[in-house]
Formats: sequence, C-alpha cells, structure tokens
Amino acid sequence: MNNRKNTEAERLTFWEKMYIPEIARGLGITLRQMFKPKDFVRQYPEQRWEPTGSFRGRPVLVEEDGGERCVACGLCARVCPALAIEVQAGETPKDKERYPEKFEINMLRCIFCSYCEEVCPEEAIVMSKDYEIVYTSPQEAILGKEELLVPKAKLQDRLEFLRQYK
Amino acid sequence: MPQFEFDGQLIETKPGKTIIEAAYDNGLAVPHFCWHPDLPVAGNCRMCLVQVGMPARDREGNYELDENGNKKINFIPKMQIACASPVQDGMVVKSISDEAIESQEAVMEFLLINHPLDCPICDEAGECKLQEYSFKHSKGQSRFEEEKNHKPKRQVWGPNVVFDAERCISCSRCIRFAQEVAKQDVLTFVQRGDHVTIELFDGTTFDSPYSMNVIDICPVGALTSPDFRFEARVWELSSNESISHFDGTGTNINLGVRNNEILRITPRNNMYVNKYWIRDDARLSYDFVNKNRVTKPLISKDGILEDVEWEEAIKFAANKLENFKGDQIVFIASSKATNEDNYIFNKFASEISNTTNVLYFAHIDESRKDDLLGVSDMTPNTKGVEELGLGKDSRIKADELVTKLKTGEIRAMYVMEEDFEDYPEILEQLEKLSFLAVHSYNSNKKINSYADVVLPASTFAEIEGTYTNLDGRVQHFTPALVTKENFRYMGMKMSRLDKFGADNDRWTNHEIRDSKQSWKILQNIAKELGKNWNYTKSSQIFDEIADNYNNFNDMDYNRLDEFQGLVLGKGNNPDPKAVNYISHYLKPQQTQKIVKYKG
Repeated sequence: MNNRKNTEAERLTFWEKMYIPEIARGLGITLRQMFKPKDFVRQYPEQRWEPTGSFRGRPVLVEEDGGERCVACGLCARVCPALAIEVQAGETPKDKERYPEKFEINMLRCIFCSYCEEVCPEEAIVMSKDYEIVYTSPQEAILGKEELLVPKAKLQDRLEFLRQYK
Repeated sequence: MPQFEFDGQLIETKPGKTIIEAAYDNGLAVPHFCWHPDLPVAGNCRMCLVQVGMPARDREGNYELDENGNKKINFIPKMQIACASPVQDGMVVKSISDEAIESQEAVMEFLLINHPLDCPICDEAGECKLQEYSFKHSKGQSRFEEEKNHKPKRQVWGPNVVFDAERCISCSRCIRFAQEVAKQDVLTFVQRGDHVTIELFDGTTFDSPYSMNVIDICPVGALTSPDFRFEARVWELSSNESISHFDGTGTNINLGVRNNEILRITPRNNMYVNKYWIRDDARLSYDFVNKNRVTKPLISKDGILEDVEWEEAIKFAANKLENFKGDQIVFIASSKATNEDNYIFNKFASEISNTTNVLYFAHIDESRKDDLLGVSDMTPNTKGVEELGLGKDSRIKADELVTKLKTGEIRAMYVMEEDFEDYPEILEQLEKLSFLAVHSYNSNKKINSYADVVLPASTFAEIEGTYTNLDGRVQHFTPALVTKENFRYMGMKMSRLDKFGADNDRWTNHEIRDSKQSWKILQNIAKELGKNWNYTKSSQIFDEIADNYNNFNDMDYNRLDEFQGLVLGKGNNPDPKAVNYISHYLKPQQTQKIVKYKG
C-alpha cells in the first residue's frame, strides 16, 4: 500500500472501493476459519507455555560458580516500590568482599515490575520464566536464598534479552 | 575587617581567615575533600580551586576602571585553592566561573582515575563526598581507559578501624587527625604518584580512644568500622539527633536506627561540647539498648520473677509502698536518668513516702580522663541531679547506706535506673530488704534478682528529656526508637522499613518494647495512691523545673534546640550560635544553585 496517500479513501485500491468483492473476501476468511482445526485451548498442565526472554516472571538470583553473583548492595531493596526485597549483607573472604547473608523476596508483595533487575549493578537478580507462583501460607511466600538461586544456564534467554535491550 | 566578593556576594570576615572558612561562616559552600575546620590545612586534594583576583591599580594607586565604570579585576592566571588562600580586602573570588568549574571538574576526573567505583559494596555509599561531588562537580565521564591501580584491601589499622587502600583519595584527613587531635602520630603516606597509600609506622597500631573519628571524616569509604562494616546501607537507617548516654561530656550524637535497633552512633557537631568528635567507647555503647531488655513488668512470686501486666505491677508497687514512710525507705535516683525523671522522682519521694532520703550514686572511671572529651564521670546527668538538689536534705548519707542496710534500719528501697554494678557491697545487702522496686533497662542485671517488682524503664533512645553535662549545658533529646508508649512520637524519624513494615514481613521483627519512661511509671503509681498528677509530656515537667529552679530559668525545649543547649544559670544569655560544619550528608542537601556567568 502506498504510504504517501493520506486519507483512507485515497489509500483504497479500485477493487476495495468496489465494496462487494471485499465483503465476499471477508466472508471467505470467516468460512475458512470455521472449518480449520481448533487450537485455542492449551492442555495445561500437560502442555505448558514456554515464555520468551522478555517475559517477567518470578525474580530469581543468578547462581554462578557455585555461589550467588549478588554482592548485597541493597539497591534492589531500595528501588523496590512494593518493599518486597530484604537484603542483609555479610562479609566473605572472597574478592567481592560481601555476599547476601540473607536475601528474601516476599512474593505477596512483588509486583513483577523488574526494577530490581534494572538497578542491579551485577546482573545478579533477573526475572525468570517462572509463572506458576502458588503458595499455601503467607510465610511460605517469603522466598529465601535457597529458593531464589537458579543456575546461570537456566537463565540464558533472559540474560541474552537484557544484554540486547537493557 | 576585610571585605571580599565571593561569587558576586559581598562578605565581611575576620582578618586571617581563608576563603573557604569565610565562605562557610556565611553559609556558602566550596567543594573540598581535605579541608576540615578542626584540622590543619593540607591543600592536597585541589578540589577547592577558585578564581582569585584583586582590583587593578595604576601607578598613583587609583583603581583602574573599565569602560562601564566598574573596577577592573586582575585575576591570577591559575586557579588558587580556597582552603589555603587568606582573604584580603577587596579580593574577588569566583568559585562558579567557567574556569573554576572546569578545573574542579578536572580534579574530579583526576581523583576518579584510580578510584575503584565499587559503590555497591562500599559502606560509605549514600553519604560519600566523592559520590556527591561526582554529581555536582563532575562531567560524568572519564577519559582514562587503562586498568586502574590495585592496592591492598582490608588492612587492619587498629581494633576499630579497617583501611581499604584502593578507595583512598589521599586527602590526608586521617593522618592529620591522628597527629593533631588524637595525638597518636602513627599514620603516614608511603610511595609516590598513583602508588601512594597510607600505612602505619612499623610496630604501631592505631588504637587511640578517638580512632573511629577517622571513619567519619574520611570523605570516601576507605576507612570502615569493623562494628558497622556491611551491617546496613546508610539509606536504610533513620538518623535521629540525640545526646550520648555514656558519659558526662554530653556528646551530641546521631542514632542510626533500623528495625527498631540502634546500628550505629555518629557524632553530631556542637562547637560548645564535643566539636566534631566522639570517643570510641561512647560510640560503641549502644548494645544495652538493643539486647537483654526487660520487656514486661516483673513481680517476684516466691522468689521467682513472673511476667505481669502493667496495671498489676503498678497496683502491687503502690500497695507495698504505702507501708513504708519516712526513714524506713530510701529512694535511689540516678544520674543516668533525665532531669525530668529525677525531678518527678524527688517529688514522688516527698509526696508519696514523706521522705527526703533521696540519694544517687556516682559512677567514676578515672582512667578515662584526658584533654579532649574524656571525663571520669560515666553517667550523663550528674550535674543535673546535683542541680535539682537530690540528696541534699537526705538524712541517710550514701556512705552510711551499707551499714543501715546491714542493721535493717532501712526496710524498703525504690531504685530508678540504677544497677549498683559498681557498688557490689550494696548489692550484697539488698536481699535483706522487705521491699525493693527497680526501674531497670536490662534483664541481665543482678539487682533484678533481689527485686520484688521490676518495672521496665525506657532508655535514652526511647524517651524525650534533657541531660545536663558536666559543664552545666542542658541539652534536649527526643526518641529514636519506638516503644508501645511513645508509638510514633511526633517528628520521630523512622527508616522506610520501619515505617511500612506489615505483620507478614520478616524484615522487621516487630519488637516494640513495652517499657515506659520513668516519670510515667512514677506518675501511674502516684495516681494509684490518689495523687492528682497530670503530666502528659516531658516538656510540662521541664517547664515546671524551669519555674522552680533559678538555674533553669528561661529554658524550654524550643530554646534548647535552637541554641544546641543552654548553660545553667544562663538561660536568657545563650552562647552565640556557632557555624556547624557537616562533612557528609546522609541525604543530598539543597546547596547554592550553580549559575554559570561570564567573568
């Protein structure tokens, strides 16, 4: 279609302006859809949806070389608009000097805004593809380091996405 | 009096002052790292570069004028450091001209060449001078692409100071502090150029009782305290102004509070008391507020202390107190308690028990005495208790107390915020008493085990009141921690976490203690015994003290805050307000707007 033409009437081709053939074409599309095999319903949980890298699921900590990348700087806790994150730093003899002694995300507070991921200077907290977030008690919804740490290999899509678009 | 022009503003100052001092006296800021008002001038950070000029004169000595009829100014071609250039009459200083800003930005770029920029793991982040100036006086980018220098980290200088050489910007504030203030000359620069670092002389440690002040004056995070290291980010803390409880100096402090716990104490500037400094022992003396607190009133039942509700404890104490009048009972006031508490305590003794037997016990440590802030008195309010006349008319003297206790002449004792830990001979005799009531902070004190009723008293961090220091300066302080009684005291600063914590959050453990300020406990007992006392806040009691005692005349909380404390007897004649210098701000401050003008 020609973009230089401005009004809708100008953009239409001759056959479109004829109106009747267009109605016939539209009805044809509808008829074709009627007889196509239906694939609208996913057989969850047997059939799962695999989100793309841009999906913002449960925030997790990146595990690298057997430990977290996180240096417990507390910026995620500061930026979190819902105050979901709590970090308590501790000292480690490693080069990076500090590590999170305690890192907890209250999933009842989390609003999946991904600000924590955006502010993180170490790329240590990222949004995962995990969308099945169900808990049976408020205390269970507070995730500690054991639940949050995910190996880097499982987060490749998201890390790739961040490198491209962040 | 020389007059000079600073950024278009005419400033009058005393002869001999440097540009930066004159600017600070007039509330104007010049960026600086190494300059500190109480330390000798080093002039090595070069951050305070300003453009300095004098009016041009011709051979007859007349001012040369330009075409508009203004005085022509001859500027020195290179920038001068404001911290070491004395003011001259007629001088013109420009700290925000294009040239000055360009050189300040160049200095920032230079200082950041080897600074590691590890702000996320640095304890200073959030109150760092280098961070602040990176925003205000820096271009925001560096042309240095090579690898940064690496220097040793985590060097232990002394029991309370850890040094990170990489972060150091070589301002030499710590070296000068050690030489001039702490009088322990153990620090020095070694190496040259970008390898320069600070080291201890061989075989020495930096263990002066003032050593931790270098952590405060360090403009970056090179110096950290093992006590607070990685404990919290500074923006998580609320910073409440208070007065040190530890000794008779009356050191002005800020309390850093998170999760209803004091995490650090930092000095606050008061030129008439502690200047900029604080002793290390006073700084580290907050554990008793956080740990081992008496959380509920306790009543001794068959020798075992049991938790009870406040009403029951008050009723119990009131019923018992009715049995002891006059010389049978002795009241132990405390120089650890505020003026207000002691005043009410005195009133309580005379009105409830008809006795003048009010004593207090001094806590002395002669080894602490020194020229700077160290005093032997280990309690904050000795002078105040003396001034209120407690114990003056007492028929039982302090040195007789042990014998009177032995003979059983004294049958009851009411102790406020005193633990007798320094007086074991009295502690031994306490079990002979038929009634002992104690206002106690901590549960691990021995005196609690002899008591018939233990009433949890609030510490200095949880109450509003005044202390009178050894120089007679009455200083007002307000609560920093939440208790059930002062819950959200008007104007109390609370950290974000404390403010918004809910029951299912684990970042606050919601320990809101059920302690009360001593005068409130006393008032409750007095009410139980039919007295009609109706004090609702500490300021009412202080106003009553100000009316009744000549030395406290003309004082009230607002005036105490305004003048940073008033000296006894000089309530209407306060010391002139001093210019307070704050080296680091916890929050970015509104400073003068930088207006670039052609000059």
